[in-house]
Amino acid sequence: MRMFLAVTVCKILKFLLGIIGRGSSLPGEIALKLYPDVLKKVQLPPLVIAVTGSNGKTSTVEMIAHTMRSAGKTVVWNEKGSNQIAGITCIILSECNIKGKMKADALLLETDERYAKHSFRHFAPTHYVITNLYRDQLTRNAHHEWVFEDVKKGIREESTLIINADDPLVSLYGFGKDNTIWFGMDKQDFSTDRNTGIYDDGKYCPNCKKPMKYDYYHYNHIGSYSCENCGHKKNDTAYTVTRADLDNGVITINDKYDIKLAFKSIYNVYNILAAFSICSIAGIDGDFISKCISNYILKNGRVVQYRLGETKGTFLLSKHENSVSYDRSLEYIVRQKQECAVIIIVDSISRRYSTGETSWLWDIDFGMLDKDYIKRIYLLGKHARDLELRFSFTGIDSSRLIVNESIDEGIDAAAKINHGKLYTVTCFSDKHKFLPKVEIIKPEDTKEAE
Amino acid sequence: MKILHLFYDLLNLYGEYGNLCVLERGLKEKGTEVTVDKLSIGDEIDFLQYDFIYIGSGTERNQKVALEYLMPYKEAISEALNSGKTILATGNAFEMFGKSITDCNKKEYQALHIFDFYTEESDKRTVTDAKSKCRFCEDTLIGFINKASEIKGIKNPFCEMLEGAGNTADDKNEGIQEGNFYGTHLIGPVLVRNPALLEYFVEMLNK
Repeated sequence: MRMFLAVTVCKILKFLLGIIGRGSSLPGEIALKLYPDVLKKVQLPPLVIAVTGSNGKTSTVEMIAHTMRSAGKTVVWNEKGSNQIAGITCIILSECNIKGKMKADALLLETDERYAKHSFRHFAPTHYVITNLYRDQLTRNAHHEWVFEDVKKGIREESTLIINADDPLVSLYGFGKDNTIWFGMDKQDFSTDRNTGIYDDGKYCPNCKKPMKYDYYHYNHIGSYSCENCGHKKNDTAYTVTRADLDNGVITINDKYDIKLAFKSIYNVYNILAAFSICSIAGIDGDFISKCISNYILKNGRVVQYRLGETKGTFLLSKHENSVSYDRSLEYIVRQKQECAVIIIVDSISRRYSTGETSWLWDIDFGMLDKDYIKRIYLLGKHARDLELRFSFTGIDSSRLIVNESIDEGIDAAAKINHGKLYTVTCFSDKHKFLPKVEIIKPEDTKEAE
Repeated sequence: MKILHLFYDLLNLYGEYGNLCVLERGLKEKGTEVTVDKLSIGDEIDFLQYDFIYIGSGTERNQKVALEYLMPYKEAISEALNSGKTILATGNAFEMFGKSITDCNKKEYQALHIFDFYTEESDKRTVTDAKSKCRFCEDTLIGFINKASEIKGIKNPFCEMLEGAGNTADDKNEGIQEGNFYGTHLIGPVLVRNPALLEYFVEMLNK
C-alpha cells in the first residue's frame, strides 16, 4: 500500500510539475517522506549500472545508454544529472508500476563521487564503474584521497566493480575484491617514461605511501605502476586498448575491435573503453558495440565546433579546478600541430559556489603551449591577470599573450584575425560567456570529423 | 641565498611551488643571487644550509609520512630556527611543528614539538575563502582555507581572520608566528596572491 502511494504520488507530482515546466527532485523527496524505505523495496531491473569518477562520467554514461538502446534494451538514466537521493528516487519511481517493479532492462546512473554513499545505502548497483580520481574541485571535494574514502563508503560487497587499472588510486578498490573487472590501456607510441605533469600524484603508493615505480605513463599519473613495498600494481586487464592511434583517430580493443574516434583525445579513449567494458559485460556483442561507438559524436556539448570571424574553432569544455582536465585539452591542441590561437577563459571559477581560489592554475601545465605554431594565446575573464602571472613562469613569450579581463573585448579582438584555427578552453561556469558570441557549426558540417 | 622547498613532491596539493617561483623572482629583482633546492623523502636534509625553508600542504596521510620523516630532524630544526633561519609552512604543514596531531580515528601522532600547540583532525572539513589581517605586514591577506583540523594552544597567531576560519571554530586567530617561524592554514600560492606578504619575506631575507 505504501509502495502504491509513493509511486502514485511521485508520478502525479512529476506530471503536474511537468505541466508548469518545472523539473525537480521534489516528487522524490515527498515519496521518500511517505515511504523512507521505498528504494529498498522497489524491484530494480536486472542491470543497475552506476558510473562515478572525477572525469568522464557524463560522456561514458551517454555512450553506454546509446549502445544499450541501439541493442534494443530499455534504459532509464539520470540524463539531467540528478545525482542525489531524491532525484534518483524520482527517476526510479517514475518508471515503476504500482507494485514497485521497474519496467526497464537497465537502470543507468551517473553518480557524484560525494553522494554515492548515500544512494547506495538504499540499493546496490549490480555493476559499479569507477573511471578515475584526480585533484578536482578542491574547494568542494577537499582532495582525491578524501573523495576516495567517500566513494569507498558507497561500494557494496555485492556490486561488481569495473575499474580503471591505470589509475593507482582507483585500483585500490579492487585490491582483494573478487568481483572486480579491470580495464586499461597497453603502452602506446605516445606513452612516456616520465610523468610530464606539473605534479606527480603517482610518486608515492596510494596504499603504503612508499615510492612507486612506473613502466610508462599515458598522462599525468595514469599508466603502469608498481610498488615494490606492498605489491600494489597495475592489474591485468580484461578490457584493454591494445592500440591507440590518436593521430589517425582509431583505437583497437582486445586486439580485435576497431573503433574510430569522433574526437581524438585520450580522454575519449578511456571513456569509450569504460563504455565498451560494461556493454560487453551486459552481453552485447563486441562488433555491435564497436559499430555503435565508432565516430559517435557526444551530444553533451563537451566539444563544440564554431566559427569566429574567418576562423573555425573547437571549443573544449574543461573543468576549472581540475588540472588533469585542462592538461588533456591543452595536449589535444598541441597534438594537432596546426597554426592556431588559443582562448582561455577563467571568469567564474565554479557555477555552484563563489570562490576566488586560483591555486589550481599552478597545477596546469600551460608551458606545453610553448610551440611556434601556437601564435597567440588569449587570457580572458576576471582572472586574466592571475593567468598572466602564471604564464610568466612558463617560458612562453609575453608578446604572444593577449590579456583582457573583458571576455567580450577579447573575443572581438580575436575575431579580427584569421588564426588558421582557434581553440577555446573553459569550464561549464564560463561556457555561456563564449558560445553565444560565436557561430556554432553542426558537427556533421565539419569536414574534419573531430 | 639558499632556499629549500621541502617535500616538494609530497606536500604539494595546492600549487605551492608558485610561492617559490615568485620568491625567487622577487629576490632576483632586488639583485640577490638565489638558489632553490628541492628535497623530499629519502634525501638527507641539512637545515642549517638554508636561509629560508618552505613546506606546503598535503593530504592528511601525506602529512603523516612527512612528519615521520622529519622526526629525526627535530633538533636540527630547532637549531636552524635558533640560528635565525626562516621557516614558512602553509596548510597542514605547520601542524607538524606542534606537540601532536590526533587523526579522525583518535590516533595520536607525536609531532616535532618545536611549539606547544596541538592539532585535532576530524571528518568535518572546513573549506572557505579567507580574508585576514596579517600581524606583521600591513595588508589584508586573501586566500583559501581547506582543512579538516582544529589547532589549539597557539599564543601568537599569523593573522586575524576577517572572513574565513581561524585555528578553531570559535577562534578568529589563525596560524602561528613565533620568531622566524611562520605557519598558516591559508593554502596554496599565498605569496602569489598576496604581494605584500611576498614583499615582507623578500625584504626580511635581504636584510
